[in-house]
Amino acid sequence: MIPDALRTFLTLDFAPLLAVTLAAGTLGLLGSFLVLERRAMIGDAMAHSVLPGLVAGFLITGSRAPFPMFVGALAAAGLASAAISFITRYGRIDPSTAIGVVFTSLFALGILGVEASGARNVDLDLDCVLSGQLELLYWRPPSTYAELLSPATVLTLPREVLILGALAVLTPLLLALVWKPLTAATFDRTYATTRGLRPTLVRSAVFALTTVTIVASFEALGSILVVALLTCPAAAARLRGGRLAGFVCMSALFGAASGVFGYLGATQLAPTVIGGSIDASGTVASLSGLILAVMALRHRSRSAE
Amino acid sequence: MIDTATGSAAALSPVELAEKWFEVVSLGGGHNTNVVLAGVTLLGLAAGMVGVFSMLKKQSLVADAFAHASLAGVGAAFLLHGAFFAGGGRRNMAVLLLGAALSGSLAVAAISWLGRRTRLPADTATAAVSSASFGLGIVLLSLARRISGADQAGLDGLIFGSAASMTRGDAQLMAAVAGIVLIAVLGASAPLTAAAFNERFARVRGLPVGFIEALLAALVAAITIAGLQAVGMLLVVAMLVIPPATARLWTRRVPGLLTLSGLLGASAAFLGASVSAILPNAPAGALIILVSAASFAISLIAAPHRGLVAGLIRQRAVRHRARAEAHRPPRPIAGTAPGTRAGTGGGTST
Repeated sequence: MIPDALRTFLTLDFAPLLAVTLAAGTLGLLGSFLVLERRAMIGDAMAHSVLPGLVAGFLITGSRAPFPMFVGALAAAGLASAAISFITRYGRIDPSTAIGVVFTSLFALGILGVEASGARNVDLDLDCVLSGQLELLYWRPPSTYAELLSPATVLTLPREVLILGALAVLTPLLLALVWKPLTAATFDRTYATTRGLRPTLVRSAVFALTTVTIVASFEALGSILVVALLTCPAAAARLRGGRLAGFVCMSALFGAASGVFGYLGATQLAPTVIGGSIDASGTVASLSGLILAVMALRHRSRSAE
Repeated sequence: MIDTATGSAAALSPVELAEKWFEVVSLGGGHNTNVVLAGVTLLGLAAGMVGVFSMLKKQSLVADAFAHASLAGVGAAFLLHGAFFAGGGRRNMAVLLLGAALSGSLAVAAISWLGRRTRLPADTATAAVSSASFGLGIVLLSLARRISGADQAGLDGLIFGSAASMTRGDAQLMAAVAGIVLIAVLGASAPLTAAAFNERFARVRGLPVGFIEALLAALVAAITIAGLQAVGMLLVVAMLVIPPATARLWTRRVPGLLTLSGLLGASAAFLGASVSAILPNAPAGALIILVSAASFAISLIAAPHRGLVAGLIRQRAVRHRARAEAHRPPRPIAGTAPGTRAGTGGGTST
């Protein structure tokens, strides 16, 4: 039989821990290409723009059914990135200004939607938008070790965890599959085009996967953590230098490590130190920022030598 | 301000709402409402003008990082204040805003440090610092709640903005800060312009460029802090970004940009805040930003040179000319070559 302490951990903390780790690793992996292409702020903008999409999905269907909300969020994130490139191109406005215009407008629309529609009272709470709903992911684990270790048990995990798990498996596979055209497209677009590697197609596919991951992570992790995980691990890994493959793996690793240690720190360590848990999403985001700070400090001393 | 529940507001007819709105707009909505309305409008005016210089320096999103990072300072100030004045349930807005200013400035310093010490692109550094420090802010707030069991109601207002819960003193403080920023921008617009367009030229002319840049940063910070309560830290950057971007679609000269951007900012703030005063559950910050966004969208379509309609008309004219050229009978080679080249050249550049 499984001891009670472990059982409590499995019930309350296992699913959120898994969710945050899987999402963190995937976002770190995909964030590395956003950072390489200098599109980090676009990820930021998309993560903020998810909110009006969720609200629209909620208002149209009148319920918190996951699928319409997912579609709404995906559409809003896509709309944001399309609007940014449209404004940059046709309004001839500096990209950072265009990003500022688009994401604040969409976020304002989302806030108004939540406040005015009464969705706030249901469960689209604005605080959850910021720091996610990790604590709502609980799991009823089986009672024996044999059942716990059987493959079928995996499917009893919460839906969010399964989706994030699927993305965590799919993303590295897809990246490995398109590795050569993707690197060519990132570094030397002309070369990639002349070699017939279809750089635009490959980049769009990776960008679409990034959008899906942002949307899938949003509900559990909240907007702040999504942005932090897209940028901080990749930035930290970028400071280490070295080859591209190493950088991409390091970024995923930094992301996953922030996820594991941040979550455990907030929910297991904090109660013994201050007598209560602290916000897990915020802790993971802070930890990823701390990793970046440490890497930047080391980077400085190394370049000064 | 109207404190009715959602149900009774829904029962109001459009005519009644319009009457109520006219009452608020003609300053008959009570003294408190008028002070908030005036303060927000002044803030919109000042933010629109300061934002022009941030846009010209391509630093629009630095204000966003400043605003996000200010949450960490608010949390820290809340913790410290709670530690020193235990049991005092009253939030002290001045202390919170001081913390916000400190941590926001730290974040901006961290972004420029990352940019100088490493080769990270500016937007990566901005996004990383702003999200990580906002995360830290959320942790500090949850810590404060854990330790002191403090009431967080006033702090939520700083994140999402709640003009309705501002006291008269809060609104007067906001108006005073906005007024000072306005005077500073008007007084220093010449050196700010010089430093924004051509830093090296400004240096050669003997202008204190470092000081001017610090002044701009301080003005952006002052606007952000002043707008925290009314608009909220997640949206206050929009007051600095959208009006200048809209004005840029209409004009390229700095005096015109400043005037237009200031007017757009002020009118969006006035409209948003007055509509918010008659509708319950419609936060002023979000409404102000949406009015601004609408003016941007209209300008993007209709502006004379950069607008989409103007662009389409130009494109058609070029196509028409090209077609006319194509149907002309061939002339001797010496004559055609420069003519056609000029025609196609004009076509691709527009």
